[in-house]
Amino acid sequence: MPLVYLVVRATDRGSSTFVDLLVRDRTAELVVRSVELAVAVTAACLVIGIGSAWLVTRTDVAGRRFLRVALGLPLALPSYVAAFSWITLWPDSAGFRGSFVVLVTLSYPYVYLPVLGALRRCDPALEDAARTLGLGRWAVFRRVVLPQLRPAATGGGLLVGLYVLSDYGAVATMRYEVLTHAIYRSYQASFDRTPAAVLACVLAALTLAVLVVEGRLRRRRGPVAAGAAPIRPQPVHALGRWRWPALLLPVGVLTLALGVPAWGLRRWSVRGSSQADPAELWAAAQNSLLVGVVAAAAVMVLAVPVAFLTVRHPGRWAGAAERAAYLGHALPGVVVGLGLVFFGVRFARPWYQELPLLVFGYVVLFLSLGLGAVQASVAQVPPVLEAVARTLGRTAFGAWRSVTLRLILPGVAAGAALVALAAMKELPATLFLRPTGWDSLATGLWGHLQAQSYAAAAPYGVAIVALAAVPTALLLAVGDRRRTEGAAGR
Amino acid sequence: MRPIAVEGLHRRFPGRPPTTALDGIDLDVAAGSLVAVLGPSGCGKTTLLRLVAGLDRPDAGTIRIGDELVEGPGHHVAPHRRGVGLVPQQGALFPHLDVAGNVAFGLHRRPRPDRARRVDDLLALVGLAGAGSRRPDQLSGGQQQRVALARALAPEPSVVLLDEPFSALDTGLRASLRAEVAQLLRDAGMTAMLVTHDQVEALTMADRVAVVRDGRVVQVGAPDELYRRPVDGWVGTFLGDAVRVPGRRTGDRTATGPLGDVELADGFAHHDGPEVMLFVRPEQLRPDEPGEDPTVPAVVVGTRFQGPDTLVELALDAGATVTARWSSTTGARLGDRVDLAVHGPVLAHRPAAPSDDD
Repeated sequence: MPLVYLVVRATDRGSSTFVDLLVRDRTAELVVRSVELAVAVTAACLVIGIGSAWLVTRTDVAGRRFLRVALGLPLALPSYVAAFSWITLWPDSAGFRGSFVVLVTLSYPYVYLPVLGALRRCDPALEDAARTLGLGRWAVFRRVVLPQLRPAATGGGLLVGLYVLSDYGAVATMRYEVLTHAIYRSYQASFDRTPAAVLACVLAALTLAVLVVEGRLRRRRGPVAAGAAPIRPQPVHALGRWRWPALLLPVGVLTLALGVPAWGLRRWSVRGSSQADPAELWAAAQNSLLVGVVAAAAVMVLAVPVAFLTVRHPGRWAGAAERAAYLGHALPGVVVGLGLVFFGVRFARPWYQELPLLVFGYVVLFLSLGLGAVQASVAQVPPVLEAVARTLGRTAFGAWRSVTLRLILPGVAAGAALVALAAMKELPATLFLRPTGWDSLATGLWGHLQAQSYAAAAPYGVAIVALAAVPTALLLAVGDRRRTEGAAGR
Repeated sequence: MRPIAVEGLHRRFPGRPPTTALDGIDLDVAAGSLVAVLGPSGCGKTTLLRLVAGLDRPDAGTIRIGDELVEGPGHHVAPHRRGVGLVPQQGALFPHLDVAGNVAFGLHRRPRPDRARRVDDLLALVGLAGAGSRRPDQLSGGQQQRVALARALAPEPSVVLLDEPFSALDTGLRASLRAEVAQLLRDAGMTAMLVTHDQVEALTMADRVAVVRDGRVVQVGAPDELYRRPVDGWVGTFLGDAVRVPGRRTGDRTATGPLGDVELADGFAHHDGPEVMLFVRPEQLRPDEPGEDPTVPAVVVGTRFQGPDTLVELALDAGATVTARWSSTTGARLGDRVDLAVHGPVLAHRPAAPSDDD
């Protein structure tokens, strides 16, 4: 729906204005920059993600158990926090270089996590067979292991691409003009919002193109193992004297991804004379929590029925609802924010710049996040349990409540938590949709950073990392571990 | 303890093309008896079970439990009012409850002290006394299956439905649990319906077996009768190893073929012929003992040792190769010449259409 209003608003001034704005050199330049950045970051993430996943599962590199979890954590860090730390540490990095480094260090887990899972599912017997057929170690990796990782790696790579296209915090901090950054600037800078709408349409089209590619790739499945592969211990390569030097890759990545932001937060707090107003900070924290919780509740109200529909009664309607949810997640926050602004101005005036519209924006953006968690837990409840409960004297609803609901509750809670945390971190959509004068932790931090009052920004940064980033990271790590252990136990 | 009467049950599932799961099933389960519904996967047997439990609704037909009509045109009794106990595949215990909680699940209308006593009684009945506080994932497959049975029996249902309850267990455990559960249901005087694709399970556990194919009951009877006198070649091979050779009717109860002149079984609707397919079990073909007549000359062309028994492949002098099951003490060797005698009833079936061998 935000998409529709975006198109409506973009073509408002007549199609000739739309076309004029569309074919400007500047538009082309922005598109090229966005795509360049996305491609470069994705390539780097593929190398780092696959390499570190292989290191921590297939070699005896020191401390691999700790690394396995820690390497997934940077995903949860807000890009504006990381970017500001980088620019404090290395002021010259502004522009492409800085954006590249920040986005790579934050988004490589999108590749790392699925590849980690895929590596654990590989049947080692295939590798043994390849070795006996005369292939060397490297040839085995290239011709046997890599093809098995392809679906996971391409899926992850596309997520990285989507993330880069939609990121606003990092590129805005690095003052690198790509589409998201340009959209927000042109929205703020002038009363004529048509250029912003046109650019947002372009960005949306770009995202949709990535989605179409993803759909194609997913249909063309990767190689499927013949029969269910039994879970066997994975072969571990002894690195010998490389055991410690090999640490350089994961530890280096972690230092850049987590160390620099931690250093940055410390550094800000001792720099400058500005000071955070505790009352404002407290109010912002309350605001963040409030919208996070309300958004999570709203998402769950929608996600639970949709999850049941898609898992238990897959069909045309269920498929459409699911695709709509995933489309919303893929759209950049800037696009959703801007679309809803136009919608609010025209059709929901009383809601415009009020919290309900902001919450609605979060629902559009994060519905699929909650849906995924609920779907996974619904899929794990065999329908036969409900059938048994009914033969034991429970009504249809009673059986659902006493068995199925009870069993999906952890999944619902985890999904709700993910949504709440994501909403608390979200910057661009919040900037577009927040009520005037209303600040959450994210927008408060952003405001102080823009005003260069670093010391005042520091407590906001700490609060956001403590309230949103750390719990998200833990949730993801625990979720991943439980999934892999569940698979191994079966 | 009430009988189940199923009449003319039809169930089609929409789709492209629509599938007919049940195509007019009639089945009676006498009060206190155990009936096995046996058929290959996809024959509709699980659908039948779900309909009897009330978890799905038929397109036509009626189901009675005791005197009560629970399913009929425009009439449907909800599953929680039917008084049926269900033991699903692999137990399907509630993972969020302990063993006692699972068994007590259907006792929610009873007073609390009563509940605890009933749970203890049932756990003792299935040989798991004292296991009430254990979690389902701490139990072995066989134990989970016992808990599932206790859970189904707890609210004192009038009938119990078992859906391939032993299919996930190891061979040895399966055999012992089968015998145990059959005895337990019999002792409780429970009316029970078991669906399975495993003919050994059906033959060893049930009082009566109903063989289902393509949504229809093709034969019902006591296990030994079904085994010895299957109505056609398909049922015969489905229930166990079979010897089938072409033959020709020579009279009211006589036929001839590679096994020589044989007498056909009494009281069986033999195919009229003249071309027929003669049917015996491998254990009915034995080496001739002196004084027996008439005999069939053959030569041993293969043996498959199976422990107590050996499957002996024999080339009949009159053409055709057949397999016999002999005690391993007979010591058949490749190339031995033997004279075979046919023991027991011989059936004449309709000659096989090619699809019968599927």
